Amino acid sequence: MKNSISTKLFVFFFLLGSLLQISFALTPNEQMKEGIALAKKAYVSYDKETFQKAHDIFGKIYAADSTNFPALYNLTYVEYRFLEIGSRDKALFDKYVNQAVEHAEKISSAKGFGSEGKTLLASILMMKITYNWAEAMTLSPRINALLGEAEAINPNNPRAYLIHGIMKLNTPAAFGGSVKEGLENFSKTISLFEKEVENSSSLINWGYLDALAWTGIANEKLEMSDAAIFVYKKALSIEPEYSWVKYVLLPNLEKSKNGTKNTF
Amino acid sequence: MKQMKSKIFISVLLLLGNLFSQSKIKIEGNIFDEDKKPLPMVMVFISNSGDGAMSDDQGKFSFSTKLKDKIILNANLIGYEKFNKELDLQDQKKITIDIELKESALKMKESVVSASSFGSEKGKGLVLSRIDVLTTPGGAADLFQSLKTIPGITQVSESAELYVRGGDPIETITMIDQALIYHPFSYESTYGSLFSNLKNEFIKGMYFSSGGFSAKYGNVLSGVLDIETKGVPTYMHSSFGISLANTNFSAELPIIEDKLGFSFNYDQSFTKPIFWLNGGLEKFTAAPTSKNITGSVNYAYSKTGKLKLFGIYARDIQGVSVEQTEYEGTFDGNTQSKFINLQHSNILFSKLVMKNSFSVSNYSNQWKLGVLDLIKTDKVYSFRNDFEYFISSRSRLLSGVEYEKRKVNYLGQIPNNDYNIRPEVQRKVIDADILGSRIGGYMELESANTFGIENFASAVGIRYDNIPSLKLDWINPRVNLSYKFNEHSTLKTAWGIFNQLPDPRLFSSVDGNPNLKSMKAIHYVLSYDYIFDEDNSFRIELYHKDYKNLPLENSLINYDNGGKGFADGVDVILKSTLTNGWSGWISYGFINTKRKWMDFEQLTSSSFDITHNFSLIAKYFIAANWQVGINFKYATGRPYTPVIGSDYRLTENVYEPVYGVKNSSRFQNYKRLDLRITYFTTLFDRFSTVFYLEGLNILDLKNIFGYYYSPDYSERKEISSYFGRRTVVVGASFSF
Repeated sequence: MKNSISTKLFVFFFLLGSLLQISFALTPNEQMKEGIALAKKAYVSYDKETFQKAHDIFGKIYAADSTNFPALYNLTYVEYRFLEIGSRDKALFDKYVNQAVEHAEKISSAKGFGSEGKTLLASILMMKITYNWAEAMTLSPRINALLGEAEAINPNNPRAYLIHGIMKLNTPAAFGGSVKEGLENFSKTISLFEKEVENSSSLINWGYLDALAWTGIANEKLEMSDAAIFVYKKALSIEPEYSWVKYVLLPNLEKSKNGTKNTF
Repeated sequence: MKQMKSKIFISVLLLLGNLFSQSKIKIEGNIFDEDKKPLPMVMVFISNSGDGAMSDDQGKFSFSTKLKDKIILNANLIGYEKFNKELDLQDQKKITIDIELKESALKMKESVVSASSFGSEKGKGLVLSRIDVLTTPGGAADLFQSLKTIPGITQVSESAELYVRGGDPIETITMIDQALIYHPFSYESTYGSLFSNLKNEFIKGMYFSSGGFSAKYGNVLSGVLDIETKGVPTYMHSSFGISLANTNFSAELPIIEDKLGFSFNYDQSFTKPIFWLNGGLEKFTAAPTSKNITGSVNYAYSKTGKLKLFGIYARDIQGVSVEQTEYEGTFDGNTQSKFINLQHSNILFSKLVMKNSFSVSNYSNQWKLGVLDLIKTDKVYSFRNDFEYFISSRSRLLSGVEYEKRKVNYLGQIPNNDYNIRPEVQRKVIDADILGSRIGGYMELESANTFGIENFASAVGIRYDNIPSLKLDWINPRVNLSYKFNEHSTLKTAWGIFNQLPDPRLFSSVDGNPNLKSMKAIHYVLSYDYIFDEDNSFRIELYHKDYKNLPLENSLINYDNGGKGFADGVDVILKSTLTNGWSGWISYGFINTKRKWMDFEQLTSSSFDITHNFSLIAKYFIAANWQVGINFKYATGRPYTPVIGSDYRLTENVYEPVYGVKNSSRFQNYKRLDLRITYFTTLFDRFSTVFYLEGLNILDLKNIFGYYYSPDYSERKEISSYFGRRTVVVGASFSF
């Protein structure tokens, strides 16, 4: 009898527990939102661990449903950031570079992701150049072609102009680089972001802060430090803890007269 | 309770006060240029703050600020003068301000691009970029060989020299950082030179014009190639390349960021492997070898002041078995070329760009063929000063002076008769110095809205040159006009007078005439450009050139200036980069040119009269890392004078050829297909590597230089061109 009661109680609590677990477990959409929030937080603080948490979440969602392209997009975005951090962390770069390219190629051919996917693929290939500039000769034509296609598919994709601008800014003039054209692309990026009325909540909306930071860098190169200070401060007014600007770009600009620079 | 109420009252007051103090002031307005056209994407902001906005497509901006009191409002747009104005925000709720931006003094609103121009960047003409040069199949990454695929340059031979619109190669000048360089080639022979000495690694920008060019360029009849070398290297890198024909190493080393840097290139060619693989080694007694050392030091001593020291040392040796009609032996050639240039540039008074250069070049070349044994030396000292004064954002005044001192010496022996070069025959001994200096000056006014007419641009210039030793001078007026119908299409026209001294050897007191006058050409050009977008463009151009005062053989004084000629033609080019991985260009040139000059007693098809010139360059990425490119060329055969018989000369025991009508025959049409397969990869995570296989004349189409004859001229055999047989080159380059 005792045994029967304890069994019943066990079954009752087991069912109750399962029910509670089901009730409180996050749906994929909610998990995606959590991942996006973590990825945004990670970018602001440039924190590898937080990026890793976001990557785990997107990875799980995508592993559960390989047709969930928003998850794949977000996953690839985080991998792009890993490569960015990895330009000074060889192990991290090596760990993610191949899968980032593979994921980006997949997403760029997914229906409805043409412009964003090609832009992300271009971003990742650009990071390969950042890690090893000597790959520029190989990759630059492909990146430019991808960005051209991304801009043709969606002329209002701000990220395509952002990556175009970064390429222009960092390419030597003899190979077609131009600070002026870089700045023009960043300005276009910013104006598109500021016009943007809606954005799919299931995709990370990245690039605005990058565009402000890069605009500042371009202005610095053109010796327009007032304008650079403005965009850096604007970036901080949007995201006061934006570490790249807060701890590196703005202090460096302010210290540039006495010749000391922080590195990131 | 009362006390409690007053506390609440004070708190509310404080809160309201705080809220009031936090209220924002709105700043809005319009931003436009001097023509009242709205300017989008202008950054408008308050100094030392994050408050600001970017103007929209209508030039409107609006933002709010919590700042009080006096602020500095700025507006920045690249290419325009910075705007700033102090505003007092005290007691303001909203400020409306209209901002007019003035275009910056050192930027023309529209660049005035003359007809017949090609450049490495927008603003210099139809774009032919460095990447275009590097990836032209069959071009061996050589600027001159790649330029030969654009219209206006005729395919007279496979040499690197530029035959521009019916002109002799000496009628096209090459300038590096303002300095003239008369011998920018390696492997010079009687058939021309194969490649240039200018290494691509050093080229930053390039401007090429096939006619109607600016008054800035003097002592030139047909074309200009103006090259700008790179400045301070931006990052440290090196590259190493090896192929069946050569090996090279280059490095760029920034020493002080953006201030001081050093660049270096060493190139050594060894052609034995390539001839071993492809055949033809038996033609050489000494397989051609060359070395090239190029270096530059750049120093930016201020924000705008720059010093650039650039130098080239090049040397080549070749020994070719020769089967001439009356002589079988060896042609031995060796050439040494040194060039150094110091350039200084700065911006003065914010509106005046000044560039000066001082250069020294020393060239020597020895040819031995039978009795011919001649050393030519050419020393040039030149100084040049160019100014650009930006009168406004729409007009610019160019001016400059140049001084050049040149000494050419011919030392050795030449045969009395060119049909007999046997070592034992009678010869003329030559030791001739041709020494002269030239002083030139020019002035040109460029205007982007001539007579206030929008989109009507002009460049009107005049130059003066003086050769004191010859008591010779000339004045050259030149005009370029263009009208831009819309952002895509532009009609251009050019007219100008061009003078140039003939080849220095014609001034020799031994077999020339020291009193020769300058040659003269008048150019007429009509051109239409259609720019589809940044990557796709089309151009068609009609031209007519009148030649006067050309050197003509004279039995009494060797040469006089009684020659004349003309060149009429059409040049067409379509250049395209498609999004599906294709890129390239198609060019076609038609020319009809005749000359009465040198030993041509009548107006005759000149040796540069290549009626049809066609080039197709196509490159395609077949996979992410694989690119395939082709370069197909077709050109009408070059005119030549046939031998129709011979007379036996008993005293010399040799047959003298009897020639038919000058240039009355043509060699067979020139056809060649080059293929290039390139694989890009990264080795060991570090070395960006390019493997390539280049097939020159991959279809093994027969092309010939000329003929050589049996001793009595009754039979003739063909002389194959440089690439008269299929030649395969494999190589790799590693960058790190």
